[in-house]
Amino acid sequence: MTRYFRFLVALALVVSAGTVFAQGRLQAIKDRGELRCGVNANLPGFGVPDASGAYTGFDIDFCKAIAAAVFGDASKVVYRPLTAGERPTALQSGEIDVLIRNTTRTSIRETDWGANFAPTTYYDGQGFMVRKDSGINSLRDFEGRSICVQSGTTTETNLGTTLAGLGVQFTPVIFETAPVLIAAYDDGQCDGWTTDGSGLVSYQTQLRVPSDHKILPVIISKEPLGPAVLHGDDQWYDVVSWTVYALFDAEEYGVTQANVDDMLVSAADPQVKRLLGAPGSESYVEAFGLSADAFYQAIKAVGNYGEIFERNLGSGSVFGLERGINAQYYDGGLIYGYPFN
Amino acid sequence: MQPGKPNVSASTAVVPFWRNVKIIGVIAQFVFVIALVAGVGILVNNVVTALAKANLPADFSFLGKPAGIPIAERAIPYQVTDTYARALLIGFLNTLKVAIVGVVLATVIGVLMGVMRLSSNWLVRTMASVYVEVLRNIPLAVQIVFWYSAVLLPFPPRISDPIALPGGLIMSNVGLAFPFLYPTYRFAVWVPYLVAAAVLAGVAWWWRRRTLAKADRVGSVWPFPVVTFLVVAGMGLGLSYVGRSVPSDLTFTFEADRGRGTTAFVVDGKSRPAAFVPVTIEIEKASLTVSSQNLVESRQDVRGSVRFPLMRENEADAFEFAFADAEAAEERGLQLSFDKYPSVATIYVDRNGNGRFDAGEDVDPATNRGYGGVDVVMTVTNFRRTLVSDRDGQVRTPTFKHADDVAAAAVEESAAPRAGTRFSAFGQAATATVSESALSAKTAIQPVGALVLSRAYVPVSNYEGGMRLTVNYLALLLALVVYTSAFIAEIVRGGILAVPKGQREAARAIGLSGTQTFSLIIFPQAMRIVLPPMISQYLNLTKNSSLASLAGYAELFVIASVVSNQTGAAIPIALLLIGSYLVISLAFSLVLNQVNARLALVER
Repeated sequence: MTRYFRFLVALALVVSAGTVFAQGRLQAIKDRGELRCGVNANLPGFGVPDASGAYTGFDIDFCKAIAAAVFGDASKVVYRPLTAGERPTALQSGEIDVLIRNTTRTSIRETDWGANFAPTTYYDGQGFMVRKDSGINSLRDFEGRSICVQSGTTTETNLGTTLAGLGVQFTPVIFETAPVLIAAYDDGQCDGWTTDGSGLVSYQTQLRVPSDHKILPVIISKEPLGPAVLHGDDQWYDVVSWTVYALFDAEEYGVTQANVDDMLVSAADPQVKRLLGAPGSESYVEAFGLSADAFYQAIKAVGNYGEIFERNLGSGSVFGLERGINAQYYDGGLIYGYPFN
Repeated sequence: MQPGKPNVSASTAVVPFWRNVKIIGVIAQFVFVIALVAGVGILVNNVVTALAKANLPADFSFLGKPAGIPIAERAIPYQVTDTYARALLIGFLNTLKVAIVGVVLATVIGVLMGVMRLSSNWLVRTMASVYVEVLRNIPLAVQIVFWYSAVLLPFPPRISDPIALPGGLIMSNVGLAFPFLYPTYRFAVWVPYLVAAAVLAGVAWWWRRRTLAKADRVGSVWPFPVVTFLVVAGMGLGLSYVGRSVPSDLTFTFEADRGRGTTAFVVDGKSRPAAFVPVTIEIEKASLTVSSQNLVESRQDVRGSVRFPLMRENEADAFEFAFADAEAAEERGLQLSFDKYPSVATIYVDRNGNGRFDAGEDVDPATNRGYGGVDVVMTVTNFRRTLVSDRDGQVRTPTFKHADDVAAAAVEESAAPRAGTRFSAFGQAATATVSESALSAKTAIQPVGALVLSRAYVPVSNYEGGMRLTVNYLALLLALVVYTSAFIAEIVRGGILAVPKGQREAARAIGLSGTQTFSLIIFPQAMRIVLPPMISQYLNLTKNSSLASLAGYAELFVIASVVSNQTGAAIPIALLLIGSYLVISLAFSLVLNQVNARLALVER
């Protein structure tokens, strides 16, 4: 009996997997009527539920943009909160359609996880937080001081090797969990602490007087964060990638959440017309398997890249982050939208 | 009926081998061994294959690679470029450090509490009962977090404003530092005397014991050998100070701009750092600038606080203080009020005009915050301090600057503000102009004997010199000691109660006092009963130290976890961990079982 049951389950899996492949994930999502998005539930600014339980944040807005592009409705998203360890399994098993959970694009994740990364949406890196009036303005100023660091990642190696390379001698204090580390830093056991820039920003709000602290303009590692989908479905990968590019492009062409309706009817620039799928223009969007106005819907739902950044992390948020290397390429940053041609 | 003796009538009948119990026994043994070997083989093969499949290392070759892990607490020199093996060794030593000190303290407190629980005094008895019942019922992890986050971290004195107690003890929420004797490069001079002292003490002990035995007298064996040892060793120590001079191959360079001095000890062309060399720093006139800070200390606001490195008044002829931007300070009416001369002051505005600081005057009404970010310059005249280099051959001083250099740097900065100049103290751009430091002029290495007394200082925002116990270590130690001592107290109480009542009555009958009864009759007998369960408590304490990461103390398990994370060599690391804890535990058991064997009643 058990054997037959197992066989049936296996058969069902094979058949269903076959179906997904046959029709593609995009069609499967459309049939299902909702996008399943793997997110972080504990990182204010990137992904966290608000008081009413609705998810908000930088990563969440990209989920919404993709849902808007597919369905024309940003609310058709099911958020799956994931821990760092659950990420690969959730992606590989097909439980989620897209992973947007401050995930660093690395070679191992592309190969071992079998993930395909869409364009990087946030160029992160390991940074440092210190008290504003501590007199510490650069890594060299840590000479003779102490730095709190969380164990379990490459953070402490980055810290050790970078400062050793500078010849800076400091006292490291290694903690297992972030809350104890934050308390130790807030209580003054450490002159500074280090983790990924997004984590610094996020935890700064939990300090007693957040405005007394600052993040040094120093990055000692590369952490490019972006959406990831599973290998083997090029159509779906293209949809996710070009939704991101569309939001990049929208900022470059000056299309915002507020003026997107006007732009749709009055824009003269053929690039903008193609991006928005303006009536009368040749559509390049339908080729993705989306409706012609897909990216118009995405921009209408969450705004362009700059707006998403400012709302969640920048001037419109409690974090007040500078764009830095996440500025558009023409402002000296790394954000570069590809052309719709 | 026994299975080995078949109930057959014909005793001559040949028993088939499968019914012969001897042969069956041998076969069973063989089968068992084969099954065991095969089972272990399958498990090992499984692990090795799985690791190879997952591309994880299954050997110990990673140990020789550079670790890159920063570790602050270390008993031996270490740099991030050292190997994983060395990092793990430091973790092992740190585990020993907390285990050995913990075992001693837990025994002392535990025995005390156990005896107190049997006191006839109600208050003492109840206090001990509460101690035991409360502490042994709270999980250890909770206690570690409690001691660390709730007790020691919010402890009032900050490292920016430490308490300097008489005797050179310095206390703050970073930990405890106190003067400590370290062996110097001249220690070798003392070694022959130490050996001689030990030999002579042995001879004295043997001679004294024989004399006592011959004379058939009762008396202590110990005073003679102890005095002999102290006299000879003391003489040797004294002689090591005679004719001392600074070896010519001991050189000294000072990176004053980095707040750090470096001594180098050159022997046989090999450049090695010289540990525990005293260096006297003398400065005719130099200055030090700090910014005022608004701090949250012990969960209270401390506003507009100016903190210079901890200095004692007798370390310089004069300290002078001025605002870096005197005009701006005067315009704002800023003044300095010292809480602790010459290190700690508050910036205030004398709003009620009474010429002194009153509560509330340190708050800027415009911002409702203190006067933060105001630069204050301290100028010292004839500053002098003797520092002892650490294991890495370095000494660290407050970042003084020569008065001329400060002026030059200021000119440089105003003339050409460029990237890096902003951080003139540490940035590369400006260092050229301030490298001629006041420090380099009169610093000198001091001659030294076999031992050197290293005092603790706070040059930047951490202790240097002396013996340092970090708050992380103290929190873990406190939690382990307190938790284990509660169990030891119960063992001791049980041991004392287990001594037969007749012993006490007999002791009283021959006229011994209460104290004598306890110390001569009851306690020694209780020790015999107590020792075996105590050994397990000691082992518990040692193994429980692996919860150290809760308090941020870098012992073996913490470092092993980091190494495992970096290399992915989970299985080899686990084996190393098992081996290390086994070695520690067996060593403890060995020593204590010896003691137990000597204490045990010899029954004939």
